[in-house]
Amino acid sequence: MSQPRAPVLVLAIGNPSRGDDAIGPALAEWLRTCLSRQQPRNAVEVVEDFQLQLEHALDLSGRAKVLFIDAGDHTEPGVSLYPVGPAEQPGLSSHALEPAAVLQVCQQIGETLPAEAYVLCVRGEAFELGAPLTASAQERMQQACHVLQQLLFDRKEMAWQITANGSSDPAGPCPVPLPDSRGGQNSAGCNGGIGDWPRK
Amino acid sequence: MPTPESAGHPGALRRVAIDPISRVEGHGKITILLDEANRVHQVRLHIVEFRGFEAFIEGRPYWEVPVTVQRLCGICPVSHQLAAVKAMDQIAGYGPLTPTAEKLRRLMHYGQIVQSHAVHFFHLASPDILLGFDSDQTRRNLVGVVGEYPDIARQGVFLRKFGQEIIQHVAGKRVHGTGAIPGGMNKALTVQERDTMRSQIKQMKTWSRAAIAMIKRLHAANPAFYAHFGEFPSNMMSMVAPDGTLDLYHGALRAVDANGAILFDQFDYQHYQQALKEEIKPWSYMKFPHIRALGPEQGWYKVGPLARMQTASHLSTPQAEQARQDFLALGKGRPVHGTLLYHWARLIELLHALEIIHGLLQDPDITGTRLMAEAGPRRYEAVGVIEAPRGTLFHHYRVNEDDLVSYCNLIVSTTNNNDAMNEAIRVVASQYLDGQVITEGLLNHLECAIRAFDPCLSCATHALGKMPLHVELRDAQDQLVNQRVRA
Repeated sequence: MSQPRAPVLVLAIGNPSRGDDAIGPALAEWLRTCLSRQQPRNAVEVVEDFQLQLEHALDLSGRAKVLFIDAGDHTEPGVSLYPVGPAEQPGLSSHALEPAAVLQVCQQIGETLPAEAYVLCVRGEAFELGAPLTASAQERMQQACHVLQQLLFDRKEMAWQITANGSSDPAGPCPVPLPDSRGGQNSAGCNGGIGDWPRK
Repeated sequence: MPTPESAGHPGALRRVAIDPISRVEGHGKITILLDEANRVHQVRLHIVEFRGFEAFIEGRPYWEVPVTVQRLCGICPVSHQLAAVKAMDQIAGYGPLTPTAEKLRRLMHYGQIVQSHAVHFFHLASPDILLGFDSDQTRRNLVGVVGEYPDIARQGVFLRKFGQEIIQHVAGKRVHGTGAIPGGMNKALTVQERDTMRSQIKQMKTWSRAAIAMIKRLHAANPAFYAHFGEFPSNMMSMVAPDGTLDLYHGALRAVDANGAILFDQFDYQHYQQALKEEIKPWSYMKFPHIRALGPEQGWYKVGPLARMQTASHLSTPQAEQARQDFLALGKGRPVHGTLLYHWARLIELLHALEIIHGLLQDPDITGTRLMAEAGPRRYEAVGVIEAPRGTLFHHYRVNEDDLVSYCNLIVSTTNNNDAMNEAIRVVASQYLDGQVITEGLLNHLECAIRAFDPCLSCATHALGKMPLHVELRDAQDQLVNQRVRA
């Protein structure tokens, strides 16, 4: 018999070796570390991938909440959290879908849409192959960790709406250290870290 | 009159740029130079981002490379991993793979073919094919297909998922897997994992046969259009087995000319630089490979499904071979070169891959536990080649005494098709744009020609906010006259 699905799905998107595109994978690793210390452990599932794809529509099906985490290019400054629903107009690319397009595919192929879906977008600045995370992206990731803390660990239902409406302004260092962006043993105790950066 | 790659007096012409191309992986731009009467004078597909694959890899330990290269491309990481590991098998000095290791690699590779071909046909190309090139832009996409052909869209999602599950079972992870390592594999397949895949394979084959039947019906409805859209004769190249059977995992190179005559056969890809040469042009970051003996003007070629259906003597699986014979009958004994025929060929390969997977899942070796070959003497240079979903993929490495990669040269499938894609849009521009008022539907004809090759133009990031379509119309002084942006 298959395991029941976690009610909350976090879909973190990005390529760890393309500069600030590593924001999604780095936050996914941080989340997995935090979740391993939480009870119950099956409340939140974290899925990481290079980019959103068609089959992710099946991951969304029937969830209470879905949170997409992705780097943004020329998006709003800093960290933004906003609700997202199925796209009315489809996306231009099906090699890499936007969150709204994946929700649309989920709906159109007859799967059960998640009750709520949000995007946590952390603006990046540079996305070249082999580039490290920029300093500004690392600062924003600290901010993003606070948002995730409120949403997933403090479990204050209102936080989703409040933060999504832009009322939250978290500050200060992250309670659980972020992975080491240079790829070594990080202070949260994970192997590998987020990076696989070229040696200069 | 054919449209040239380079106009005689470009400064006096109007420029139309499609930047970047929608529903194509990565960042490309088409520019068209028009005169006052909208006559086409020059058409080019530019690659506008420097990719820097080689610099990313050089200096790394060789054993790390099969994992690292997966990050070159979010669409075909398995192809890069397998091409790299085939080279590193030799660098590390390993002999022939164990039967289980080779079959697991094949399973993973054909799983990648299934997921890639499924997503391309069912969700990338089918909107154009099913709904027509001049359909409203907002209908020419997922919703259009899903709305009018809901079962096809659903089947596409599940075929894609099946291919991904195969990769996950063999590589151990959904992304960043380390299944293939120099000398073999690092994880055996469990009986439970095999049986999970077995339980789905018949349904997947049924869907893929239905897709072939559908594209045959579409072709029959307008055979002249599908056969001649973007049609141009060219050489073709792929890897084949010693008996000429198509083999997407391992073999030697075979090239044929536009009439199907063999140019070279059973050419050992370790020496590919003797057969092929890469040319640089100042207006694109992507190189232009060609058959060295024929030179750059006559030696360029197609790779990928349309080429493979015609370079191979036959397919090893019965249903796909029958489908290939039906397909080849279009040419009445001569090769077919219509650009849209890539889609039909891709679906035959989808069925072929599923038949291969079915066979591998029946093979007792697939759950074996002897995963590593015997080690022998080290080498310092090797080439790995694989037939990736989009075509032949070369990975060439030199490794120094410190085990670090000192030289790397990749010829990715899309680079092999660079000249062919440029020729396709030149032909389409001549067929459909010359002397006409430029409309969105007409511009989409050019994109359809590019999409048929399923190019991976930059393997770039896909952050939120990227991938708008920007069309610019510029006058003879290169001043912006008008523009359209698809947000």
